[in-house]
Amino acid sequence: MQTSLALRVATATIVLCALTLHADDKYVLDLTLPTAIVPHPESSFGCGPRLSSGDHGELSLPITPLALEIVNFGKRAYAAGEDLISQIRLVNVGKESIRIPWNPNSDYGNKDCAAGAKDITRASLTASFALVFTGDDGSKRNVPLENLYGRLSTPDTFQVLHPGEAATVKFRERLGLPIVPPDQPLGRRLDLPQDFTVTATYSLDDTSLGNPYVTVNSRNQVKLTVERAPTQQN
Amino acid sequence: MEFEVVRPAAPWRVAYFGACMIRLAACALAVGFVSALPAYAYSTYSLATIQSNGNVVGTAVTDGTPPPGTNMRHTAYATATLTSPKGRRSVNNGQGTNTYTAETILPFDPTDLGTFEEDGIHSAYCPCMGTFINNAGSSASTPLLSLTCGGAVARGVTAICALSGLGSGTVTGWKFTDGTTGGVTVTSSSSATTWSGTAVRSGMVSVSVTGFSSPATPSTGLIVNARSGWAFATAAPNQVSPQTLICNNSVVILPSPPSSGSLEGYSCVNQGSTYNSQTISGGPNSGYTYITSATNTTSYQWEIVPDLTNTTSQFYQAQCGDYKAQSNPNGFISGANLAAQTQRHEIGSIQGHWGEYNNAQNNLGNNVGLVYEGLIAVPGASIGFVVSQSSISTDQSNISTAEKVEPYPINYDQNGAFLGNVNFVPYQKCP
Repeated sequence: MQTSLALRVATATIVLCALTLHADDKYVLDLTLPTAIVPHPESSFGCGPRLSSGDHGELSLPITPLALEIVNFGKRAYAAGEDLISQIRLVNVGKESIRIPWNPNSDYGNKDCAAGAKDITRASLTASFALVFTGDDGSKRNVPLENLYGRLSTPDTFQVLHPGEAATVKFRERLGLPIVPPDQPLGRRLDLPQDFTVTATYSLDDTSLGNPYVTVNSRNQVKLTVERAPTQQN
Repeated sequence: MEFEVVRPAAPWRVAYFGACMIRLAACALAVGFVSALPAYAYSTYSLATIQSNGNVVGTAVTDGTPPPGTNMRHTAYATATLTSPKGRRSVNNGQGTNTYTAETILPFDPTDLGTFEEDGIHSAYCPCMGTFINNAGSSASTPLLSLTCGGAVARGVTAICALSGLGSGTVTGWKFTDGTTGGVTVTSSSSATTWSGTAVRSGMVSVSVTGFSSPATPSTGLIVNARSGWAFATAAPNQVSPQTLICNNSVVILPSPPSSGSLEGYSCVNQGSTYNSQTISGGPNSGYTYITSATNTTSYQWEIVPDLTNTTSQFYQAQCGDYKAQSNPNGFISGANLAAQTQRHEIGSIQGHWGEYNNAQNNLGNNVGLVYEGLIAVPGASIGFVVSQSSISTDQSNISTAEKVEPYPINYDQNGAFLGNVNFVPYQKCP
C-alpha cells in the first residue's frame, strides 16, 4: 500500500512537472524523469493476448477514437545505444470518451485475466507503445517503449480522454535497435549510420471490453538518423 | 602448467624386452660374464605443456637404458609432433645414447586456441642384438584457453561456461553476444574461469585473457534449445445452458422459437492465456527475461436453442421428418435430426465449428504455447511488451478465422446430404 501511494504521488508529481512543458495537452506523462522509473519485477505473472469470437460474422475488434502522432525526438540523429527521447501524442478524434492507462507500474496490469467480463471493477487497461524503424531496405525494427497500466478501480492509474482532448507521453528508451529485423533471416546485418523512417504504434486493451482495441498507427512519420555507437566495431 | 601423460601399454614391451634379454644373455655369454638379469623398464611417454608466454611445447621421451651392469648402450630415438586446433603442426626428432627427449614448440596464436595434441614416436636400437627394440607411439594433449559451455541446454537450464588451459594467463572479463539480435551483449568483469547461469538465449560467449604474448579472446557458442511440452491443446467443447453463452462480453440470445434466418445454435471460442516470467540474475543471459510457464485459458462454449432440446416443444414437433429425396423432396427434416445436425454444426469434429477450431489449433504454426516457449525480453525490456508484440494475436486470429468457416447447414449431414427443410413459424402441418 505504501508503495502504491508513493507511486501515485510520483505520478502526480510527474504530471505536474511536465504540464509546464506541454500546456496544450490535457494530460502529460514524463517518463524521462528518474522518479518515473519503475523497475521490472524479477518474476511476474501476466495475461496473454485474448480474442473472443463467435462462429458467425466478422471478427469484432473495437476501434479506438484515438489518433497517434510522434511529436518529436528532440534531435535528428542518435547513436545506437544512446537514450532515445521521444514524445508521442494521443488525440481523441472521435465522438466518445475513452479510458487510457496512465501508470508505468505493471502492478496495475491485469492479474485476473478474465476479470473484465465478470467484474468490471477488477478490469484493467494496458497500453503498449512502440516505435517502428523502417530502414533503407524496407526492413522494419521495433523499439518497444514503456508499457502503461491502469486499473478501473484505481482512478489515479488511468485518464479519461474526452473528444478533442490530447495526452502526451514522453519516453526515454535505450536505442537498442535489433541488428536482425524480426522478419528477416539471421545474417542480415544492420548497417550504420542509416536514415530511418520512424512511425509509432499504440496497442490498447481494456479488459472490460470483449476484445482488445485495434492497434493504432501514427498518422505521421519522422526521419531519424541512427549512427554507430562510439565503441561499435562492426 | 596443465598436461596429460599417456603411457603406452606394457605387453609389447614385455615381449620385446624378453626377446632382447634372451639375446642379451647370449650376448653376455659371448663376452665372458654371467650375471643375474636386473629389473629393467623401457619407457616412453609424451607431454604437452603451456609456457608462460602461451607457447605450447610438445615433448616425446624415449628411455631405452639397458639394465645396469650389462655394460651396454642403446640408441634411443624420439619424434615429437605437436598439432594445434587449427592444424598448425611442428615436428622435431633426434636420437641419443640410452635416452632421448624430443621437444617441439608452437608459438602462441590468439586465434588458434583449444586442445593441442602431441604425438610421440619412440624406438631404441640394441647394438648387441643388431635390431631395434620396438617402434612405439604415445600421445598427450593440453588445452590452451579452451572455452566450452557444455553443449546444448534446454531453455531455463543452467549453463556453465568454463575456460581451461589458462596457464599463467589472467581472465579480465566475459561477454555474451545475442545470437538472435546480434547486438545485445551481457558483460561481466569477473576474473573467474567459469561463467554460469540460467540459459535462455543462444549466442556467443567470449572471455578476455591477458598475460600471454598477446591478448586473447576465446569464444564458443552457447546453444539453447526449446523446451518440449509447451504446445497448447484444444479446449474441449462445453455446452452451456440456453441463453447464457457469453461471447465478446455479450450474452448470445438465440431467438425462441427459431424463425427463418435466426440461429438455432451458437459456439464461441474465447482464446486467452496466462504466463509467468522470470528475469535471470547472473551468467551469460543475466538480465534476460523468459517465460517460465504458460497456461491455456481458452474455452470453447456452445449452446443450442431450447426448442431443439425440448422434444415436446412446438418447434421440435413441427419438424415432421417426412423428407424423402425422391418421393417428397419438399418434406421436412425430423426434430431429432435437426437437433443432432445443429450439434454437429457447432461442435462436430467433421463439418463443425469446433472441428475447424481443433484443426487450426493443431496446426503447430498457430500454436500459442509454442510461441510462449520462445519469448525472450532482452535486458531492460518488458516481457509484457514482448508478449503483446509477439505472433500470439495473429495466431489467435488465424484460429478464430478458421473457426468461423461455415460448416454444412443444420439441415444437412456432415457429408453434405440434404435432410429436409426446416419448418418455421407459421408451421406447416405434418401429414
